[in-house]
Amino acid sequence: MSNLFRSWWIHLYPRSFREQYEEEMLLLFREQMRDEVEFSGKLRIQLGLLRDLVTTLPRVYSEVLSRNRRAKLVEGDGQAFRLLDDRGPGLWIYTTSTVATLLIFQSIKSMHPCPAFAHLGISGLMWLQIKGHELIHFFVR
Amino acid sequence: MPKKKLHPLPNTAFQILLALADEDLHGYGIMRQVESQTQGKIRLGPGTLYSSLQSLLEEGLIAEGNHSESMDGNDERRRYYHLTSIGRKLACTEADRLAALLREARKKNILRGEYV
Repeated sequence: MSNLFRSWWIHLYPRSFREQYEEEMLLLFREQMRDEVEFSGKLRIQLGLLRDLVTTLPRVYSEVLSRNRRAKLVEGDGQAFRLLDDRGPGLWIYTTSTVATLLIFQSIKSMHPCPAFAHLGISGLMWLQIKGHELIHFFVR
Repeated sequence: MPKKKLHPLPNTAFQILLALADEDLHGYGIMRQVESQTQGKIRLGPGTLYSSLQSLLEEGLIAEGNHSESMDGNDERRRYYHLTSIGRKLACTEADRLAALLREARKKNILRGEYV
């Protein structure tokens, strides 16, 4: 299970970050797991890893993108290819989750025609659409 | 000109600089040292650790060293990090700032414990 766990989380990071640190990060995680003998300790490490992903992924992506934008400004349009390369699965997870949230909201709204909920649903949907659009625009522009 | 990401110095970055004050360490060593110097209160995850190391490297506060002296079998894949003179200076400045803060807290009787 640990191997499976180890193999997916690292791929959420952008490619350029992984190229630099993948091996060391995997080694560090493996050593953490090795040094922890109890099941509760191993579980704590894995939960800690999930929390770490949630807190660091947006920052790492934002840093990679801003670095690429700076590089693009300096070196011209050729860097656009690098920008595309740096979009890892993490970006797709964010985008897919935004679209999924929109779809869920839309289906709940259609199942509950009560006026108060419908009002909340429309406002919420509009807010989500605006935020989703901003997010997608941020990554795709 | 890139934006300075480490001004003010985040707590994680300061803890990493402190961990490297005495010796060169690899990622796992830094993680263990930070855990030990904070009595287990701060446990750095791999993402936090390596994104912080990347920022510290970019700012020139730490540098990668060679690891030929180490004896671990995993060391070929490891990078060792050491504090640069700029990093040491910044760590001293941050420590002074925290000391001044503690003095102020003590003056106002809001500092618990007598060990500081």
